[in-house]
Amino acid sequence: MSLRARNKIRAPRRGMTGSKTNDFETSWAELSTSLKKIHTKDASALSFEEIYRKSYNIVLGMRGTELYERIQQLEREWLDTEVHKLVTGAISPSLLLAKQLVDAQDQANERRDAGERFLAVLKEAWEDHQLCMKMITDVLMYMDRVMSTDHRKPSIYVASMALFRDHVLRAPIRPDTTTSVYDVLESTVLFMLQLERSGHIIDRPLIRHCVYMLEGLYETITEEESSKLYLTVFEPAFLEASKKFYQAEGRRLLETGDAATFCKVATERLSEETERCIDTLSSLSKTKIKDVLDNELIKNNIAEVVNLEGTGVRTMLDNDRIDNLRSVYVLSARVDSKKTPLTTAVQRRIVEMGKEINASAIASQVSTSAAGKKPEPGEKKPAEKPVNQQTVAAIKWVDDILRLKQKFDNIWENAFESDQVLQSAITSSFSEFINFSQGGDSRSSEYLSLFFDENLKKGIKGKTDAEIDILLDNGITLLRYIKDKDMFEAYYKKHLSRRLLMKRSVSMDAERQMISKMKMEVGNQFTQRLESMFKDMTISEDLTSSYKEHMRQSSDPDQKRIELDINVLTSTMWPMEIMSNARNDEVQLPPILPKEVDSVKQSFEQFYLGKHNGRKLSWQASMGTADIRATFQRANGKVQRHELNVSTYAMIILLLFNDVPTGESLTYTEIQERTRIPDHDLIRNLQSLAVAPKTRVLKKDPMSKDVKPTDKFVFNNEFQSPFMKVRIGVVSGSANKVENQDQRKETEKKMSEERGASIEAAIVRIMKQRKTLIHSQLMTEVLSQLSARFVPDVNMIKKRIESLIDREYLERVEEDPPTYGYVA
Amino acid sequence: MIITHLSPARLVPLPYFHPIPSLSFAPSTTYLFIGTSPPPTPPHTMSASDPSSSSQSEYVTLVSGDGFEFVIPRSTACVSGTIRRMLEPSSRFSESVTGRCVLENISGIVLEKVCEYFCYNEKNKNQTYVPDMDIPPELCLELLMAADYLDA
Repeated sequence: MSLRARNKIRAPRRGMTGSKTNDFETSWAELSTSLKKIHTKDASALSFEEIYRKSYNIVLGMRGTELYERIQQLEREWLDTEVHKLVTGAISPSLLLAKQLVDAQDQANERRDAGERFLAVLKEAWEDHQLCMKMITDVLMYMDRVMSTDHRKPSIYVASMALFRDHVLRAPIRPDTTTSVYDVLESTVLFMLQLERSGHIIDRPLIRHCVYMLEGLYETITEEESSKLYLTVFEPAFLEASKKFYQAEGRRLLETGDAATFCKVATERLSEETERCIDTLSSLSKTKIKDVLDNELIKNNIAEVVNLEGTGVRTMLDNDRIDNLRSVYVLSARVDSKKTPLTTAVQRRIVEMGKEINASAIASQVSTSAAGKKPEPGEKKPAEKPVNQQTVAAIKWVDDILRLKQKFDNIWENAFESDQVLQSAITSSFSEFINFSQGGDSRSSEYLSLFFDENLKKGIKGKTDAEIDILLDNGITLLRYIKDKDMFEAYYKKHLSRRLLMKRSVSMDAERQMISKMKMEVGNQFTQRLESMFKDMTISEDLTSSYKEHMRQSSDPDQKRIELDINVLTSTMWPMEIMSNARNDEVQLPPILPKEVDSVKQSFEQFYLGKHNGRKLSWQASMGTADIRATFQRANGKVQRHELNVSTYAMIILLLFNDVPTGESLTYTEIQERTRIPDHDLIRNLQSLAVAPKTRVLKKDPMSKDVKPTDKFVFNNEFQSPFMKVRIGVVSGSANKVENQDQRKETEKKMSEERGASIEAAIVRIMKQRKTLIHSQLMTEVLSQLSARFVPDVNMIKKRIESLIDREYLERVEEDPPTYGYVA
Repeated sequence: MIITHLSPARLVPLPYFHPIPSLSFAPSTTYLFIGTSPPPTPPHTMSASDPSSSSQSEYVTLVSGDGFEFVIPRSTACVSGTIRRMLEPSSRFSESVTGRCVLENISGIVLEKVCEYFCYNEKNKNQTYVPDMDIPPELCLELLMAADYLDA
């Protein structure tokens, strides 16, 4: 209790706060003198506390609002008289000249000097004002606090900044004009920038400071970001001026007509403007000025630049100007995510170049086939070369395309920053010209298959695994572009079967690698048959060795046996033309084999059928080869031996002569009767035996290049060869090469049959799942299902649907829209 | 331990409030307030003739209206907005030049409490559980006035 009595609250001592300075006018007089001293930079003698206490007392004396007004008044007067005079004094007449008059160099220099002087003075005035106001605000902190909370007035600092804006910047430079200080400032700064853009050096920090000033001033006292003077007044003017400048610049650069220069300048301008925003102006404008550049300089001109004659993208592509292309790309990418002009130009050029390659391949074909057609069709010998040339042309075609592809890959990677849009554009262009066909006659699949054939036969000899890998990968890339993959499969199968059966493949590893690559690229279904071809080959090897073993055990070891290498092929997996004996629908009887051979054949059949019950073996003599030892009785009594490697048919023919006395002849008809070899094959084999100069084991009478039914053949004991082993190839037919027109038609016919079946299968698959479907939907589904293999012809699909309806797999459910139903 | 000639009523020992006995002579007494760390420079090396060092010095002198001087670390004094602005080096007022602030309308007894608060504030700056500061009720109003004046 007693404690409370002692702790009586002491009243604030009045005398300490207000008694001495209760007179407002006196205090104000002292205050205003102090404030003026601050403005004249004479503050170090002033006591902060004293001024603060005075304003504190005034505010406590309820005269705060009045003090606030007085200070504003004081500032206004100061700015109007001292600062304004200072600033306008620095404006020299040359700054007021209209812009158009400053073209002359000396005038420009003069204006620049004057401008720099003016800007320096203005900057100085601004910075002084800022500093002084900061001090004044600090000193009047108490007043500010009370005014902004109690009376919702802006801080004295903000208010005085607005005063600076109105009484210095926006004041007319002379009472009789409307041109304000700001106008002069704006035109001066823009003029400076113009100078810099045309290559002069200007005082960047000075301009930067003036821009700071504009950034520090606001339109409103609430000082929102967006109401900065810089943003409201200066920036639009700056952007407008830039726009005009870059429009002119764009025109000027286009007139010089060099795309590379354009890109170089544009790129430089871009970085220059960015730098300018950082160093000279405000980074607030960075994106805006870039937009101006993008729109005015790049977007409006890029299409023209890309297509400039002689220097545009086309020339850059042709000359591999990676750097230039990169800058074109970068610029295009800025303004358009699709980069339309660039993409179109690149695509156009690819298709152009691709068509050139196509044309040169076709041209070489036409010229050779024209040359090859002139001699009689029977004369096969001269026709041999052009055919090879065609193959060469096909391989050249693939190589050319690969080179082109590599070129564009390189450009894409290095110049186009591996851009997705451009990649798909390039891909589609390649696919366009590769699948482009004159009159539906696209040979890409065949060419590509030939390319693989050639490489797997010869090309990869002496190459490392890595090189082979690259080579095959390249081929696979092209395969990706080919739309009719079934066509390619057919050709590849054909070529592969020849390689396998004739043992022409250099490396089985490479073959397998190739298959697995195709599997990855196109899918399992695609390579299924190719793989089973390989499987057949392996099984056959085992079969051969086990047959040999079987024979060794079962028969008399002394007996001279004929060695047999057998390939048992699954008929559905191998290309049809090899399998079928039927030519033109007429059944061909198997050839009559010499009895030695026939016995071997029978023993194998026994052996095989004993192992696999219920299978049917049909012998394909046309694909086989035989090694025979031939003895040539020379006229001088000497005996010359050669080992001949001949086709099975040739072996049959030659063995006939075993039974013919020396010197006697057989006619063509006799040979045919005794062997039943098909005409076509017989002629070819006789040609290689009797006509080919190096392998003339038979003599023909009369000696001519054609084989006629009346010709006589006699065994040539005078056969000469420098080698012990002689390989007698069959004229044409054995090598893989470009097909002639007839073969082509046949392939296409087969192709379309096969496609028909695929289409039907697809239709049935879809309908089984969907039960009923509208025609157009069915079409799209079929197209999408089959697109991996080939691009089906719409008419063909329609026909197939009709045929399925006829065969009652489908039915028409409705007419409008046409709808089909699945008949279970 | 504590010289309490200013206010005999206040006898609470405070660990962070160490007036130096040898310097305590009223009314031109200089009190040395130590924050959480001991002073590396003795306060008497400051002098008005050396403004450059004083403006950067770690200690400032607060003078009450009745002539008591309090030397406290600059950082603690800057808790007050008014004092902070007063001492700001960029505004070349006499206070910032000399490092000496004369606070005419605050009495020594109040200023002592103010300085105590500055130190208290500095000491408990980043702590969650802060002990209450002892405010003698009779000083309440004057302290409020001072707080308003000093913007603290």
